[in-house]
Amino acid sequence: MTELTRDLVIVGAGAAGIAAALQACALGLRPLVLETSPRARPARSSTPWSSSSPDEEALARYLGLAGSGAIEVLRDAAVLGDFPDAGLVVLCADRIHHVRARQWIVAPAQRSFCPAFSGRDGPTVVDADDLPEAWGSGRIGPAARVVVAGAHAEQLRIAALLLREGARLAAVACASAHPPLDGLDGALLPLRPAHGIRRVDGQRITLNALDSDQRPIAGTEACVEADAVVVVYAFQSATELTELLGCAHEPSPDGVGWRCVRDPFMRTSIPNVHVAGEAGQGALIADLQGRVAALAAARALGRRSGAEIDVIAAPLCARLERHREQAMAAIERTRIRPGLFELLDDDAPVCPCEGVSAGALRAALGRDRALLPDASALKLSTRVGMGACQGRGCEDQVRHLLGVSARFTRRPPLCPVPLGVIASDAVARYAGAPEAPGAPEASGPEGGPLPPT
Amino acid sequence: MNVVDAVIVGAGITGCGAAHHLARAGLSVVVLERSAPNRGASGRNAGSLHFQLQHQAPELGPEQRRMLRATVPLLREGAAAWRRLSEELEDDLELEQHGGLMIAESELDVARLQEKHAMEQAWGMRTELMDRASVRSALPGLGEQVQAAVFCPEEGHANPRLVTLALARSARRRGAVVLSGAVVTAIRCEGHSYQVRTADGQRWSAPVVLDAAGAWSGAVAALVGLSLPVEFVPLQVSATERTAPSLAFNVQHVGARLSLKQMRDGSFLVGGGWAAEMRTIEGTTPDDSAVRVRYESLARNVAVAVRVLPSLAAVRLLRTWTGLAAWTGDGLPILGESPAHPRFYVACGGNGFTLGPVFAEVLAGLVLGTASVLELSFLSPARFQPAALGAGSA
Repeated sequence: MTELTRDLVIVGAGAAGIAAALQACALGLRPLVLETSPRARPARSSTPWSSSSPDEEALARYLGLAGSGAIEVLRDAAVLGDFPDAGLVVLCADRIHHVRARQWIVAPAQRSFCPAFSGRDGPTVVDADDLPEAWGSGRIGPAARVVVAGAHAEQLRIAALLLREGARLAAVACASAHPPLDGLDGALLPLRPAHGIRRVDGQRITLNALDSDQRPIAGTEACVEADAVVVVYAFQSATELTELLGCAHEPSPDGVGWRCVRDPFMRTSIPNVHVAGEAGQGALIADLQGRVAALAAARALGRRSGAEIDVIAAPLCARLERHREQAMAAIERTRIRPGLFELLDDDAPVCPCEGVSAGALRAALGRDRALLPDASALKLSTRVGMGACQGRGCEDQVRHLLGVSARFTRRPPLCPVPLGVIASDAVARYAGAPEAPGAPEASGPEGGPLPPT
Repeated sequence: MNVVDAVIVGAGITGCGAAHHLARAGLSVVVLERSAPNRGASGRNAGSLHFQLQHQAPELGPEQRRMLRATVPLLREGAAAWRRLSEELEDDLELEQHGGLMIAESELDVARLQEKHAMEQAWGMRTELMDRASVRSALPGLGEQVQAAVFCPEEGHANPRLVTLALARSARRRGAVVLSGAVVTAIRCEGHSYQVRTADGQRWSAPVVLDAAGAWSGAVAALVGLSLPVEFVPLQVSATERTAPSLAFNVQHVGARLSLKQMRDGSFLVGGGWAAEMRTIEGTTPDDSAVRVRYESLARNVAVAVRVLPSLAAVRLLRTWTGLAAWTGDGLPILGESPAHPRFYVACGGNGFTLGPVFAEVLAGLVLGTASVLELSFLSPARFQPAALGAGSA
């Protein structure tokens, strides 16, 4: 057990977290950065497969400052949760750290999102997030026949990159009728605008034409043969931590998932918590938001006067505003529309963690709709969303099946942790203290029988 | 105005269970649920079926012992009610009554366990004291320090995710109406019937009202003018990943808070009445959003579990959640008719999940006027009414 109490803690070391750390350093702060990459690849260097990685120059400066101790870094740190009695509980190399801070900047990881379809969990389907690894390991290599399916602008960039690296594109299926080429040569790509994946059976991929609401058009199924299907539909920011911290969230503008609400200074609805980075909007916006968040945190810590901060922040906020407008316009073109969730055969794995198919959910709703008013009720009765991923991958699909806004309650721990690690922390932290202090009710004020366990 | 034979407040295990029995008897029933069916403690507890005496039994004073002894027939019927329920319902409840152990580690624990077992024997309960050798041969994975155990063959578990929904489903098949989001705001007694109103303006009239609102039972009773000492107790439970079957019994601890079991899917549930953190706001009724997981409770609960079953150290914790249980002033269930409000019945408190099926049977029996084998007047809400002071020991 380690207790770490700091002025400023930055959770996440992607483009936004690194920018926040550099800015905080420049203001004379010594931030603690929890490197929490779900890929276990702290301070990742940029890869051609992702446009959200920090640039090399910022990364080099960050690593330099981390090396000199100007930035304090906890590597391989997985946040288990935020607890009223124990602060932020962080798992780091099989040890528990309890972290407290006067100001927080949460720079959440981004993850690719893909709607469910039959065969979604099969070996030929590769998420955008897994592409660098799949390419590096040769799972997809030059000469492979690849279908690239998706909606996000990154889809076409990735398709062009695959082509350049020697892959053979069997089809590029875009949910949008007008894929944003953004300077790419559309003639080189076997584009299928307004198409989505119906199902994947090994190397046999069935595509479906989509209407303007991205709803499948009956009778348009067509098969393509390929060795791999790369899916690039949308990117989501991890919101589990900001949800546990109690920050307000709103539906994400790109049509899937949630977004932590923030003001122009990246302040959330919880006074000492800032958030930085916008999934799917690239490294530049992440960088600007990280710097603005650090400025706001420094001001809250009293390190700089408001006027001084405003002078530095004003041009950053203006640039951010401009880039955000562009990004929002791009999102509007590539946004996932509700019809896409109807490309769902009964054997589609909606919740791969718990093995819950679309058919099982439809059956439960068909039988018990009156008893299942919301996502939590469906979760409890079918286990959908109960797995280690906390339901982030299936929430949107569940919302569509239910026809009402769906939100799963996040539960600690945010990632699985061996019981032995928690038990050791309990022994170190609470040894000798009387059992269950602060819970007189539960022990029975009159010494009576215990309440239900 | 909707007229029915009975209004049930609360779609938990007791309310849906009573609805199941009453609908089977041909009564028209509505169940009014403030949030969603099975959303409260019925769906959030650890699924334990506890039929031996709880670990504090040896420390009770003579009056409390007398009251506890009076609950023994209720425990016996409680175990039988689970068997009846699983036969009546079409759905699988994942009911296992394979037995439960309450273990002891220290010499002091062993002495307490022996005294508890002596009480059980004196009261005609079917429990068995096991020494170190026999408990270790029954469950070889137990920690080295485990010295003895009391075994109760009727203990076990059912799946809290499934039971209440199965009851609600059965009730609905027989015509009962189950309404979610129906917050009861007023209950008025007019002549021989009760007028029940919900926040969304619906009105129901019935000669019978059942208050089966769990931790909210006291708030519901207050609407009709019945004052009950029901408090909210925030508790938490943890679940692990699935592993191969290795624990065939429920395990409790005589000297530490623990309930440990392996469910049919291979996951372990770890609980034992550990407190969660509840934020109370003056003048409002708590709800689940006000409760958060308390790390100290989580960590110490897990530490006890790992000490008792060391192989758990390598099993990963997936999720810890909280729920609000009902605590009655004396820790015993409140079960029966309001002394001043004819045909307004309450069932809450005690071990709510374990006793839910028998509570449902008792409530249905009271409504239908069928004879009961149980003498339960000592659990009546009357024991908390000023006019009845002293009645509990009469």
